[in-house]
This record gives sequence, C-alpha cells and structure tokens, in this order.
Amino acid sequence: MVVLMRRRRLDVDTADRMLDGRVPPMDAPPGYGAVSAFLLELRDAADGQHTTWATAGGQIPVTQGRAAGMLVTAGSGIRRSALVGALAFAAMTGTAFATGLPGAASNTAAAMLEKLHLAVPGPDEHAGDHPAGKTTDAATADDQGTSAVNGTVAASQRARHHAGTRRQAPKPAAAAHDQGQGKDRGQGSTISTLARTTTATGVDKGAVISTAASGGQSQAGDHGQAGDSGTTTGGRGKAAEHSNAGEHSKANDRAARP
Amino acid sequence: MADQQRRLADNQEQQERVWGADELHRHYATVHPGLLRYLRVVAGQSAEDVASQVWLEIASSPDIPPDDEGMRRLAFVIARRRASDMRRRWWQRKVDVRPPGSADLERAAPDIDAPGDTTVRLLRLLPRAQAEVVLLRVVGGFAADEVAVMTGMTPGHVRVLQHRALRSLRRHLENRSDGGL
Repeated sequence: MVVLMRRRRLDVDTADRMLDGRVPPMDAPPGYGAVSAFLLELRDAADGQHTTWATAGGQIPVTQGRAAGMLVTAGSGIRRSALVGALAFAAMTGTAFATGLPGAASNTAAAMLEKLHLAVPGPDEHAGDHPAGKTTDAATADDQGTSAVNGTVAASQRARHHAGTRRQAPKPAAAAHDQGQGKDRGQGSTISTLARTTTATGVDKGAVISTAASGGQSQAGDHGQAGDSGTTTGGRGKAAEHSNAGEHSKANDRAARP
Repeated sequence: MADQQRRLADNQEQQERVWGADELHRHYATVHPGLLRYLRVVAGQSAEDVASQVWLEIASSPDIPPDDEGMRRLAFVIARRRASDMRRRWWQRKVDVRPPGSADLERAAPDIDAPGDTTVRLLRLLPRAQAEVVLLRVVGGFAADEVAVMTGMTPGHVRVLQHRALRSLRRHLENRSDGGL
C-alpha cells in the first residue's frame, strides 16, 4: 500500500515575501498560514497597532507605512460595499420602525432617504388637509373625545373605534382614505362637542351620544337603567338568570363523589 | 552618570538645533517601538538599557541620516552592536552563561507579559541568528540584502537563515496549537 504524503515545501522566494508581509495567511503555503499570521502580528505590534489576524476580520489591514504595500484580499471592496449598504438599510428601516411607521416613511426616515435622492411619501402624505388625519392631531382628538364622555358612552365609542379599526385593517389607511371611506370627516369633533354640550345626564347622555356616533344603530340605554341594581350591568338582564353556577356546582359534587 | 546625562542634554540641545525638537521626537516615536521589540529578543531584560544607550549614541552622533529609513538603519545597527557587547560582557563576567532566551530571564522581565509579547516569547525559542534575521526583516523592515550588510553575512546566508526560521516557527506554532507550547 502506497501512502502519499504531501510535503510542506517553502521556497526561498516565498519565505522572502512572507517576511516582507506580502503573503496573507490564506495565500501562504500549506502549514504556513499560522506563520504568516504570526509575522503579521509581530509587524503590527512593532508598529504599535496590536492588530491580529482575527481582529482584522480576515482582511489584511491596509495601513500607513510598510503595511500599505501588502496585498488586499480579492473581493474585499465588494464585501465592504455590501456591508455598508446593509448597515444603511438596517439603520433606515430601524428608524422608520422606531418612529412607528412601517407603511409610509416617518419624517426622519424620509429626510434620510431624501439625502440619498430617494423620494418616499411621508407620514402625513395622504392625510389631506384635515387635522384629525395628521399624525399628531389624531392622537389629540382621540384623547379629547374619550376624556369628554364617561361610562357607557366611552365604552361604546371605543368599541366602535376598534370595530372600525378591524374593518379597515386589511386595507392601508391611506388607500381607504382615497377610496372615500373618510366620509365622516369631522365626526369625532361633532361627537365631542355633543358630549360636552348636551343637557342629558347618565344613561340618557350616553344613549344620545352613542346614537349620534353610530348613526342611529346604537341600542345603548334601551335595556335597563344603570341605577336599578346599583351596579353597572349594561342593561342586559340579571346575572342570576343566566348563571349556571348552581348547576356546575352540582356537577362538581357528582364528580367528586366516590 | 551625571556626566552622561549632561552629555546627553548637551547633545540633545545640539541636535534639536539641527533637527528641531519635533523631528527628534518623531524619529523616536517611529523607531523606538520596533527597536525595543528587537532588543527584547536579543538582549532580554536589558532591552531598555540597551535602547537608552542607542538613543544616547544617536544623539551624540555627528552624522545624522536625513531620512527615516537611514535613522532606522542607524538605530538597529547600533542596537545590534550594543546587544553583542552586552552578551560578551555576560560571558566575561560569568554571571549567567545562559543566553537571553532562557526561562529564568523571561520570568525576571516584568514586562514580558504585556499584550503582544507572546510573539517575543515564541521568537526566543529560535536560534539567535534566525531570530535576529526575522526581527530585522519584520520589525526593522529591512530587505534581505540590507540585513546582510548590517550583520556582515552574505545575502544567501540571510535567506537560508530566514527560511530555517520560518520552518522552525511553523513547528513551534503547530506544537502550540496542539497544546505543546
């Protein structure tokens, strides 16, 4: 059986180039990669840089002086460009996400992209001229609306708001606005004014506001009075009528019996 | 000692008039780190003393090379000769017949464990002539022909020494990766 062993040859010229720092470890003869890295470290340590092959990220560091004549790994420019591009993309998407705008770009991200000559729609691009559609004004109007009413009215409006949100969720808000679903522009301020100026009180006030807000579809206040039992039951009957607690209790007793 | 310091101060003043203080400091900052690393291998724990002698001689030298390469060459030639003198004195005094690469010397040097000095420790495992050639080539930045002129060897001898040094380094590095060093 013939065993072929590969000899580790190092010719004089290669040794000369290794000592000159012109042979990166990956181009060194078999077995001499560590020697080349060691010479690189020795050279950099003498220059006061203390750069090792590992800390150089697999690249020959091109620095001033003698090291400037060293070879640079092929494709390093491409990798560097890709790295810079990836970092820029991550920074831009991260900023847009941090400012809460996964769809349209935020003002910060739009400004950054504008410097790169990339025109993107801003956050208020599709809001029209209505103040409630603006990014900052919408939250303020919502706060005013919820703080103006109380009890059942607030719950009704929140329920309607959430239902509207779920209904519009599959479509982008800006597209929905363009398709005419913003027909009740200013309704929030109308409801808010009604809540502040109405003379009704208690459940009647809630019913008035809820009816106005839902376009007559709300049934708030039709069932029961809040003051009937002293607690808020929502006017949907009594708990004892629908409770099966006693039956469950019996079932448990049967199950626990040996 | 005081006479030496006065002489150094006079020469520094003279050289500063010729070079300018900034240029002197620039030469020192450029050459000294590599010079000290070279001397840590060939002179052991006396590296700092020898380096001081080197700069004293440079400061007192009437012929100052105008460029950085000439200054580097002058500093390393002086350092090599002072290190040889030191080794000769050691042998004459019979204080310690072991060469500067011994284990006792490594333990005695307080700064041997500084970052990056594992390279010095590894180079001390080589024969002195091979380590010196590698250091002059890598740390000093000289070509093989220049090293031959500095050391009084032929260029072919220098190339043979550096070739053997690289083979020895490969063996030592393989042993170290296998846990042998």
